[in-house]
Amino acid sequence: MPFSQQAFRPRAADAAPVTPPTPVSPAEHHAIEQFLSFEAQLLDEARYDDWLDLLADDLHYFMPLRRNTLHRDLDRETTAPGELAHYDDTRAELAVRILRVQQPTAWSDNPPPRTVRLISNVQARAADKSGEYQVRSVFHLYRNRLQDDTDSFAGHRDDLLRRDGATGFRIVRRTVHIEQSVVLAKNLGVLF
Amino acid sequence: MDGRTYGELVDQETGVIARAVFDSPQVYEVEQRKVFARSWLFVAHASQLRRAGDFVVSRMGEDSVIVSRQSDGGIAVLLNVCRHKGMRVCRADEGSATRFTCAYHGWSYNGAGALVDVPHEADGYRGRLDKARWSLLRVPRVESFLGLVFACWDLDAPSLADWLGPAVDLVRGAFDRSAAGTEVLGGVQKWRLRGNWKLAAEQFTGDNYHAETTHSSAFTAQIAARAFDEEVFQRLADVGREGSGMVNVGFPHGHGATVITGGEEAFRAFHTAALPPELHSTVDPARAHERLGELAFGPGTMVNLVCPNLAWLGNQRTLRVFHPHGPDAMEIWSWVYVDADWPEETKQAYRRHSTRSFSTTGIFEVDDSENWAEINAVGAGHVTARVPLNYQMGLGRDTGGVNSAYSDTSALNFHRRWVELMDGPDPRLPDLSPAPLLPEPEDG
Repeated sequence: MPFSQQAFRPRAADAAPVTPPTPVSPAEHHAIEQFLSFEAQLLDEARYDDWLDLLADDLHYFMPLRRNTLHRDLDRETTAPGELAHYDDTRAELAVRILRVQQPTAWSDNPPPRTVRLISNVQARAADKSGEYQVRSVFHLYRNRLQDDTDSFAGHRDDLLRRDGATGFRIVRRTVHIEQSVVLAKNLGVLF
Repeated sequence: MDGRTYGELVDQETGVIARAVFDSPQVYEVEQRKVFARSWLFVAHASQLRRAGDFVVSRMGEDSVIVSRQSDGGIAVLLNVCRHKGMRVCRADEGSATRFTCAYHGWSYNGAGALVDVPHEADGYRGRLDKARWSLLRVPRVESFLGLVFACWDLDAPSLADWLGPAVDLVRGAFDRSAAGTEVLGGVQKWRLRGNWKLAAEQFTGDNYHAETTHSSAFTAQIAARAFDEEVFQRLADVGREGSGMVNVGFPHGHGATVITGGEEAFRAFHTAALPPELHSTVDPARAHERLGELAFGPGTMVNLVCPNLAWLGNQRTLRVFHPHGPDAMEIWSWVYVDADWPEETKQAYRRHSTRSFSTTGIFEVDDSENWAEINAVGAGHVTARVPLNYQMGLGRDTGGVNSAYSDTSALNFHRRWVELMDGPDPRLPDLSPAPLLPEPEDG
């Protein structure tokens, strides 16, 4: 389960067969799952200042575009670093987004949306650095707003989490793969 | 329209527009024919098609088209519909191909659209299928200008140069700043939202008035983060004042823009006002000035619309098309364009800034789409449909289409052109008549 910017990685003919990830200990896995659930709650409750506390200072928050390609071009199905992305932010840049959404004049979020997200299929493994974990999770985010604005976003996330004394973990890297090429919503101004 | 003309929906005298312009299914249907099948439409940037065989799938109104680089360097624009049973031929967004083969029965077309292979042609058609006349329909008019590729269905349309007219300055001021030209960075952001396409289009003719209210939250956050300078920003907020150094211009044929008139000083001020400090050093018009003269400080560098639906923000480097998607919806396709000879880090800095500001997640854009969506969402009421919309800002005060940067002049000018097209002739489309089977071969 290495990090990849690509949503699809066809196996080379001479590659070894797939092996399930070596699991972390049940206690570590539980702690990671609970952290992701807690994080999801903060976002659903729009407690963005608290959410920012969970982000490492060296965070990279990345959400590439998806495009329809033939199978032979699958390495281009997801935009690469340097190409367009929905998000390609540092922690400081996310903080500006959050500062905006907290203004009473942030019309796209005032009245605020109602969101709920399911975080599932969590797989965790120790990363190269001690105290860091590579975590893959799947999400389904439902957003409802105003009279009948209804959005459903599904996808998966590749995270790098770092142990942290105060918050349990901090998010160091997050790559979000959304399963839409044409985004079927008036905005993606929601944090995943 | 019950014998009325579309001019009755747009009252230039009193400056009001009927809501039907923005939500009537009947208007929309006519618009597909009279506006989108008659207009020069942006279909791709040449940098998306660097090598022979490169293609992108694009849109002309609701028609899907393949834009494909030919072996002779030319560009073909092909209706993306199999001539056999009407299936979408190419279902990838982009790529490189020598053949487009329909997934239904396998009819196969080359990069120029010619039908080159029909499975079981001999058994099924006895050699009588007139393949040359069952090729992909080719858009008859294709012209490129400074890297922008336009196509037009109408055989009677004027040349692209005539279509642009004096608005050619907008394109030159934006896309001719360096001998190397411009390129778009990889990937096209696409999103579909409620809101008639003209709501976005008219805004890009120069609706500076909305910024202070709509984008208040984004400005506040950027100033608090010291990404924008408050003092400079105040000047941007005052562009409606006489002598502000910025005006709205409605060009012939419906094009419109906000144009800097205050020379180099105003150019520098307005460009740095809405860019973070790390990009300020890129606001150097010296090279463009050598190339374009005074044009380097003016048109094309702020908000621009090439009628009907190509728009860009010259200081933010976002380029977009507002595709119609039914009477009350649009699909926005958005690129980031940069000078091709900029250092890579400058290109990347613009990509990241532009995406954070104007995109699916852009802190400015998300509040624009709120407006466009809610205008259509609230439009169904019986009385609502009969309440006219106000375009009276600056009415009667324009000089030859030029008016304050706080005025509806360029928006009304866009709608004047829209009426002209809607009340005008149908496009003369390429020959759509079906070819009969070829004669039975003589028994030999």
